Amino acid sequence: MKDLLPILKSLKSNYAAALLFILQVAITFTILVNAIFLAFEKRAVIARASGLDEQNVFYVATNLPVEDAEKEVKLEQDLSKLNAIHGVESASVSTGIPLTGWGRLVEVAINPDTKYDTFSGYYGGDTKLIDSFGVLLIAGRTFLKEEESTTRVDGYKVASEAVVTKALAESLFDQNWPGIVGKTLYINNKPQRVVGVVDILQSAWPSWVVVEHGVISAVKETDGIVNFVIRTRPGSQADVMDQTLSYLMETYGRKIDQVETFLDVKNRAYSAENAASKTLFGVIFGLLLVTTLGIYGQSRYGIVKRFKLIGLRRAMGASKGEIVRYFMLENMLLTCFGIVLGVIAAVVLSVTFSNVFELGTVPVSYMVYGSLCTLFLGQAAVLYPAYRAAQLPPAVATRIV
Amino acid sequence: MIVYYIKLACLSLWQTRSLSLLAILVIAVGISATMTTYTINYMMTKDPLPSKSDRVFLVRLNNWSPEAAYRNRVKEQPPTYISVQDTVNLIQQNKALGHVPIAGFKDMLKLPEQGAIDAKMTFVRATSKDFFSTFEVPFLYGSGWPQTSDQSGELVAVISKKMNQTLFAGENSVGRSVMLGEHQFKVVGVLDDWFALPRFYGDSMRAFKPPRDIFVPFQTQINLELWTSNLQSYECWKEPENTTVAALWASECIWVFFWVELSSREQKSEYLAFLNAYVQEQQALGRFQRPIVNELQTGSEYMHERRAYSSDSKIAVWLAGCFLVLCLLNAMSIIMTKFQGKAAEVALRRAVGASSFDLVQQYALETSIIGLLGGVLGLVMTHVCLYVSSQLYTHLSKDIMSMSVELMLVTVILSVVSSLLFGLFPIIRAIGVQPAKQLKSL
Repeated sequence: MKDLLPILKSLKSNYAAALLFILQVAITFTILVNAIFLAFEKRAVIARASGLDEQNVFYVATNLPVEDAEKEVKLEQDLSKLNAIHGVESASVSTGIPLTGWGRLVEVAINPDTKYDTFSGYYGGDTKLIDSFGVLLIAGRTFLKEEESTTRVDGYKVASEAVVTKALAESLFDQNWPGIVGKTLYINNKPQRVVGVVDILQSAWPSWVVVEHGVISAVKETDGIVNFVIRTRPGSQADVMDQTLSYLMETYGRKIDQVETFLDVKNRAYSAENAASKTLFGVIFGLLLVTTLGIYGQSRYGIVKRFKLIGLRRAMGASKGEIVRYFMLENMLLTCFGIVLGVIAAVVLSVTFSNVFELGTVPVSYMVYGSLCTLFLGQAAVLYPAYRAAQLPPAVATRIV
Repeated sequence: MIVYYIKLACLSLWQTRSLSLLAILVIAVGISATMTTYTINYMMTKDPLPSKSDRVFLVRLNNWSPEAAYRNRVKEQPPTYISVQDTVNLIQQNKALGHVPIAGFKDMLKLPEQGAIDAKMTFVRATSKDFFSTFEVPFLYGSGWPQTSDQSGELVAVISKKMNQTLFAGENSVGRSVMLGEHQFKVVGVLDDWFALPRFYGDSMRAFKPPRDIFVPFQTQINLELWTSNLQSYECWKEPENTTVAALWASECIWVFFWVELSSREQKSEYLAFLNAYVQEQQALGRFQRPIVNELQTGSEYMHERRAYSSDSKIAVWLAGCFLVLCLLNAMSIIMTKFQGKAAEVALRRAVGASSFDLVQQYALETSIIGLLGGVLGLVMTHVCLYVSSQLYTHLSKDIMSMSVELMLVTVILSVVSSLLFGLFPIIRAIGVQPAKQLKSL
């Protein structure tokens, strides 16, 4: 620590280089903290659970190529055939698939004839749909076979029982959410009795505010394109998919609109977030590289300039360790100045971002970790030049002008 | 003199080649990061139709239930799409230069001679002949369909260059036929490469995807009752009379985006007055039982309202800008190191009579050469980065990842100017030496 005063004095005589160094550290810190924060925010969005058994679910969107009157029978036949395929855990029909970007939304209210309390995604299917999605039932029960019905379109208008997601129950009843079981909700003003609550089931739109609100009913729809949701035993998905398609294509007039595993759906839904977070990590990498090289070059330059000084100090009896310590301390001092400036700049940038782009502000923990990282980076970059300087024989060093 | 300075600069660059190369590299990295993000952001947010942006409008009519405002908004705003009957009526009234309904469906597409197994599920755009003129769509072969096809709903189609490549191996396919579901359509035109960015005219969620590959008359979709329920969003405040497609067409369900091209900006208020009169007329027939708040909206206004532009690309530009400053500071310290070794040269030249302005000129030239080389290298790296982004950003159209000549010029100029700016300080410090003191130590 006794080096502190000489360091400060030498900085004063060479303020331009020191200022440049401090500025570089400050900017690095500002970008680093904000970029890491944004990247982790994107990662967090991608990592959200959809509620489905993601690895083992796929869906087929297809038509029912028969006359309107026969559609219900055809649907039942398809379902029983699909459930019989070897490797299928559960197969169902659904009005929509989470995260695909196309689905239904309903208005949910606790009291009749009022404006809605909140919005929710909607899925209608057979009694096994909850099982086919692989979502977890946490209160109440699933649908009974006698509660199941079939309609042509808009199943929520004929449904009389519903299963809701926990997030929806909580938004209506807060802490008392398990009490929702047995209560009546008004879904698009149609009274429906809640029979069960599932843990998580995301709706069709990943960027929707209430993406975790969901209502499921036991009403199958036969109009247009129907979605078969199939959950397979682990490892047999590809095989089951082949068998499903070859069964479906046996019917004349069948059109396969879409076949996709749920993992593909999820990848597609979050492709923007994924790409953005990758770009941010690229920025962070480039940033660290440029800064480390910069600090390295500058320290090296600063040391080469002071060869004579080093030689003198060595000749006067300073140990190698003292020389290394001197430069490390100098680097730390400058980095600290840079970090202080960087924290201010990072807060300003983060507040600007949160105002302009409606993002969260960077939490304090990021600042702390960022400071430690930057400090470590500076020390690592200066280590080699300092070590080299200490190796300089005093006789040679003093001879150089 | 300038030639001599350039020669000197090149000599000096060569003498300090490793430092100069480092400076060039650092500048190039900063420039390429900034320009890559800027290009993507610029392409995403640019005016999609610069020549007509003030006279092509989205028609928004306040067609909603008498009981509640559309989406229960506090400030009442009309929906972005209109019903089929209003679309047909507005086209018939023919008060604008161009009428462009944006509808569509999907169906299995194949050649007549192909088997059912080769048919591909294809998204079809149903619109009018005005689509091609209003949105300035270039044709490779043939042209759009005639007005009569729009009126009678003929089975004609325009296909994209890509589709023409897939189906007809790129030949002139005008006059040939394609099967769309059970109907045979005659090809009347093939589009050339067409980049509508952002693709503002339809669903804002898909604004950065490429346009569809086959276009048919709107009236044809209506006549043949082609409807795909899970393709576009549609909203109904009142149920259709029954479950047939014909009832859907006649209902108050809204789903058709309707654009008009007016002959001049001045005609906007005139057309709005016409719309208000139309709605009043319909009110007399018992429709439109809400306050009249019709709107004409330009493409970019619509995109902004729908928040089609992601903030990610803007944030990336900001971060990249900071990164550029960092790289320039880095380059600045390298240049400083470079000039530090020149103290003796500066002193000598000062002593033999060079003014400080002469020296500034000469060193500025040297710095701008570094900037120029950094800019050129940065441009190359930008193209590499754009290519990588086009692989990474699978959700965006590849056309976003391309640079115009203006942008390339801007890149190089930005590099030169910023290097000059950041190089000025080292230069001034370098020539600030005391000649006498330096010469003594030689």
